[in-house]
Amino acid sequence: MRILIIGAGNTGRNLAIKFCEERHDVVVVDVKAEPLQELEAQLDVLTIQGEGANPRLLEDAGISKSDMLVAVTDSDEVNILACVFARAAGVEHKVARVSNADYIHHTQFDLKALGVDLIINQKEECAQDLFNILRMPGAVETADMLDGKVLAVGLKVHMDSPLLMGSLKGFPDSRWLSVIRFIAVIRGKEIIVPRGDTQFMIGDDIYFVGRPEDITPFINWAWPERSIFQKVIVAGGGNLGIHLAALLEKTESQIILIESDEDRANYCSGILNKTMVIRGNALDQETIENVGIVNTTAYVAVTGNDENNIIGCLVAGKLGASFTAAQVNKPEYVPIINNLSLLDRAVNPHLSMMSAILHFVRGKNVKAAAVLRELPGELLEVVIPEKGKWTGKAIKDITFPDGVVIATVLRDKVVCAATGDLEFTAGDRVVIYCAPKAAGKLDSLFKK
Amino acid sequence: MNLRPILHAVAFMLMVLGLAMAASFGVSMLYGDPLPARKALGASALLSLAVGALMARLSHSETELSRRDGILVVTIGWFIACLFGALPYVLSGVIPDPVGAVFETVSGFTTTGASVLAVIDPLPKGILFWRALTHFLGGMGVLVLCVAILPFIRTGGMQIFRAEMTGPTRDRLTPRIANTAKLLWGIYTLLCVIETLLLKWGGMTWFDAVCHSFATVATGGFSTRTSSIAAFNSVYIEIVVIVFMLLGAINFNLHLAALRGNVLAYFRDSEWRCYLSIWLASGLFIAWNIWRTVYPEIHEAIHHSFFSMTSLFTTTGFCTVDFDRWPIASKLVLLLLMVMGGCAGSTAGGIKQIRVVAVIKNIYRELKLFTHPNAVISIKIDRHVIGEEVNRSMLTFFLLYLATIVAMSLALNPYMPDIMSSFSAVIATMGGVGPGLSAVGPIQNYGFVASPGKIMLIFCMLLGRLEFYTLLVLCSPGFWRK
Repeated sequence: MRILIIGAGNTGRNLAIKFCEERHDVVVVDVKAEPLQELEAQLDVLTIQGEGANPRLLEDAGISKSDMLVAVTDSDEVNILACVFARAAGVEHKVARVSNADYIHHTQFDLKALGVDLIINQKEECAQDLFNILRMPGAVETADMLDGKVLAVGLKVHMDSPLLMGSLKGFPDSRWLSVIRFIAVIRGKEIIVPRGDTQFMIGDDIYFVGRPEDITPFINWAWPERSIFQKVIVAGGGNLGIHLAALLEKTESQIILIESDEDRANYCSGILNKTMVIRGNALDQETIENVGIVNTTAYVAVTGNDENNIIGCLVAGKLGASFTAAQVNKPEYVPIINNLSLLDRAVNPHLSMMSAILHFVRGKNVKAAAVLRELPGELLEVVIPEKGKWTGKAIKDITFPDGVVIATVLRDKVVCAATGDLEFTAGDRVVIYCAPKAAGKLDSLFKK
Repeated sequence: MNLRPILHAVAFMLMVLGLAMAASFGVSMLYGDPLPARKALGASALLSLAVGALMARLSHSETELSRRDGILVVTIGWFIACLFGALPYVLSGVIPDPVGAVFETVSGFTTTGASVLAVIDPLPKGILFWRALTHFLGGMGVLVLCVAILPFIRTGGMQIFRAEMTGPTRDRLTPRIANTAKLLWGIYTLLCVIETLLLKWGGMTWFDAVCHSFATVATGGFSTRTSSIAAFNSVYIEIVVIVFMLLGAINFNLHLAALRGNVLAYFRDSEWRCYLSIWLASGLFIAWNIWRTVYPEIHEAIHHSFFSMTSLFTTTGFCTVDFDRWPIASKLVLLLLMVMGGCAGSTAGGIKQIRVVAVIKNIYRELKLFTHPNAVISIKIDRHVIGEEVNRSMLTFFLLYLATIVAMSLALNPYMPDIMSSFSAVIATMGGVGPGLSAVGPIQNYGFVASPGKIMLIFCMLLGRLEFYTLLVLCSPGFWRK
């Protein structure tokens, strides 16, 4: 596949690296020469310097031969315009990063009609990420699937968890097995697809799916000691901070947003309803102490400055916050932070976007059901066709490659437990977890 | 620096050489060469393949070639190619002196065409074929060929490509470097095939046609005859050779554009326009200069002027007449053309037209700045602004090239009968031309030069072919530090 990437920023660069690994033909366009030179030195890509939405340049870059265009410059307008031209040139897949919410959520002027197949809003994706983490304390990560009817959750196994008593076969409390389906266990670097005799161990990250109404009691049972955040402090009133606070307003927690700029703080308080907006420096000891941090407080730093975010989290952690998370823009920082366990979570907006785009590349009949960042492999959603390989067959009669698990099935808007006796019928939406080792066999799974 | 992936790539290159030797062995069998030649080619092929296979096995690793490694692949690759390539000459006894054999091999791979052999006609056909094959492999670059055909060279491929292709040029034509390499090698091979057919049609034997087309398109200059192209005594053949020498000395990107239907690309390219103007002007000047002084008939003057001038300007080095006996003005023009060489992105040597154009534009800029100190003048080639960095590297190259000519001429002088010989020998080897003037003139050869002199000339040929930086970067301590 020939892929044209407009914008060689963090996202563009990481996408180029990924696409090169998958042996696609990659062309990268940017206004600045420096990032392009760096890219060309590292990767086997063609780079072209110039304005991303300039038709002459797009022609030079071979847009009519391209199969996909990913526009990830800082400018919404350039990204959208590039997609418009790409549609005129007959490019099949067009992805644009759009930050301004007014472009996205207008009913009359639909970007899809202009030719943008996939719109990516970095701030919203990132806010959703953080929200998912905060609403399910203790979870490594959570993600919605099938229009929110099913949740995928990763949970760390703690010392006092009843999960430690027995394997799946002799599960301590069998009522959960009919509503919760375990899809993967991460132990160190290893990924285990759970079988009947799989034994959970302390420190495992276990991943499971189920309906939200079953998941919460299950987590309560599996980890009784965990605490719900009574207070969430959001440091930074940028778009991301506002998005996050607005999402959190739906929950019970008390929300405090700290913003140093007076005008911006006023703007925040105008938009948000339940949130208490405080004007002050999030790094200032006094401000933080005044806000009050106790052991049921979560602290989320989402200012534009990576270093400030990290320091803010360290300060909050010192003062006793039970959970700290920071937005970290530089992808280089993320592994360092995780290795040093400086804070509970480092969220990188570029990585969030990347996975959304990568899943989009996979193709049309298979789409990403949810994006889990910490779990390698993929959660895919497949719609069972009228006359498919699987139609009318029971799960136990189908041979799946090693590392593939049926996670859940949605039939007529009702979630069905994916037990061995369940027969697939046309129109079923099936979610499959596919471990990395099975990724190569995926194509054969869906082709007739 | 990762030695393993470097050696891995080099090992495969050695196997490609082994295959080429095996092909020469086949030719040798076909034409019924004497036993020593057949034995030598067979043994060299087996040895290269065996060493290559062993090296490839031992150096297998997961790490990929990095950018810095690419340069080392080229340097080590050329070093090994020149040593193994000399085996057939030494083993067959055609050139028993190892230094002389390496000289002949380097001269082949760098498409110089300078020979230590005085008589060529009676040599075994297999050896002559190998000699022509070294031109073919070295012209577009045997490592560029490896980039094209070996899937495991990816990231480092760009650097290999850059180090082995000539001149500053828009190097990447396709997103993946391997595809670009394939395209260029495809065009190169296509030109060779067409020329072979045309030469065959002009009365050459298949063997002569193939060997000469290798030597022409690669702008090499090794012939299968002692008297070079003159041996065929055919105006048609000389015209075919002139056309294909020119095609070989033009940027291959333009050929590609033409093949894709954009024939006008030639005329839009300022380097090509400049090259052709200089070609035409020099041809006419030399013709005027040698008419009546050397040749009484005007058509003779034009004919010989254009053939020899094209041969030297494209850095090929085929000969039909002894231009050493021409008037001094013509000889100076020839020397100047040899220094300038062909276009960037071609198989020719020399400084390259594009750098000459850039230097002229820089001179113009400096003159302009003299009268308008605050003027901002950007150096443009084909309406594209050349960045300060590229501009600086072109100027440095120009300076380095001229300085090396002077320094090497002086160093070589003790091994040469006169300063003109040593001066023209350095120009002819560095530019990849072959024949120089005076003692190394068109009817002479390099056999008489003592071994230290030959080693210096070998160094000159490699410097010119790999365009300095690839070799010189190895001398800088910073390269070796982690």
